[in-house]
Amino acid sequence: MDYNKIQALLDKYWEAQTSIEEEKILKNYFNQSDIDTRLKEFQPLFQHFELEKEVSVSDGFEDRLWSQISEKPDTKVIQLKSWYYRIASAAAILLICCTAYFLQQYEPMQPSKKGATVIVLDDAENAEEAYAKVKAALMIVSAKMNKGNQATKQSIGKLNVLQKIK
Amino acid sequence: MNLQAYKSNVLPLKNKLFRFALKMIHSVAEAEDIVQEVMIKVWDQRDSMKEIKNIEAWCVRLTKNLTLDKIKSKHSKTQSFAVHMELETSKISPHKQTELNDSMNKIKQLIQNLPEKQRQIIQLRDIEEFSYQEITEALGITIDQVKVNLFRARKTIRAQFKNTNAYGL
Repeated sequence: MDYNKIQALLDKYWEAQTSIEEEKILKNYFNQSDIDTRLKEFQPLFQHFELEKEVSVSDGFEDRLWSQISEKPDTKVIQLKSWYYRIASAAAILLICCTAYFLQQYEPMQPSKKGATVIVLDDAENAEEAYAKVKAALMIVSAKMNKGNQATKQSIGKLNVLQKIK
Repeated sequence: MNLQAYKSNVLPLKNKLFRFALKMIHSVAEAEDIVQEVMIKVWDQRDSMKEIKNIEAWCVRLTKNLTLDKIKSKHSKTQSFAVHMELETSKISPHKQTELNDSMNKIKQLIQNLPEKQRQIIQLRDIEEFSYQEITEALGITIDQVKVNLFRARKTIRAQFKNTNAYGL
């Protein structure tokens, strides 16, 4: 290749105006044996570029890479997993909705209509009030029972008198 | 991306990425670790790789970021980073180094001592033969920045030759 053409490309190269193809021409020129003496000084630069290209990873790099890659779970497994999570979360949401619905529908059992009184103790403040109420109720019951007892005693007394007369 | 596409499009980038990381971190073992990490990341994300226009530039960018992270963590761990760096540099293909003559060693040093951005651009352009567009994507800079930095880098290299001539070294 003639000197003038290479010199022109080289000038263009220093100005950072060369295309990749033109740079390849320069590299090819300086990496062969027939170089014009006026251009010889630039040979090391382009030889350096060629030599740097040969720097490569050590032997066994790919084997190490494949063993790393094959240790990892397949992507498809991950996809199935994500499906599993989707179904599980859908089921969980459904379960929560159903529970909420049934809870709303459910009415607490009414106090028995057969007469038993249920006193619900809501909190500590009500406790004393409730106690008083229960106490009052029990007092009434007790009073009635005493009345009944007295009546029974009187009747039994009368019966005893009758027996003695016999 | 299937295994075949990965083998033909991604795997061959290993040496380019290795060279790029090596120039930054100066350790063969660490540079290889970084490239492996990049390759595994691409494999893991192979289904979304279709959206990436230029896988090569994308990989260089990932390599750059991972290397910077590694240097940062290394820097905070070891105080004597400079000493460490020097030791590791001598490991780079010793048989190649003996082949290099003096002037080539000088060029190597000169390029290594360029400002980081200029050095990376020279590497991607003159060694890896990236287009300006690819360098833009790989380094995350504008095309004007690529041109300006490439121009400055080549100017510095050229000045070295003029000096060599003038002093007859």
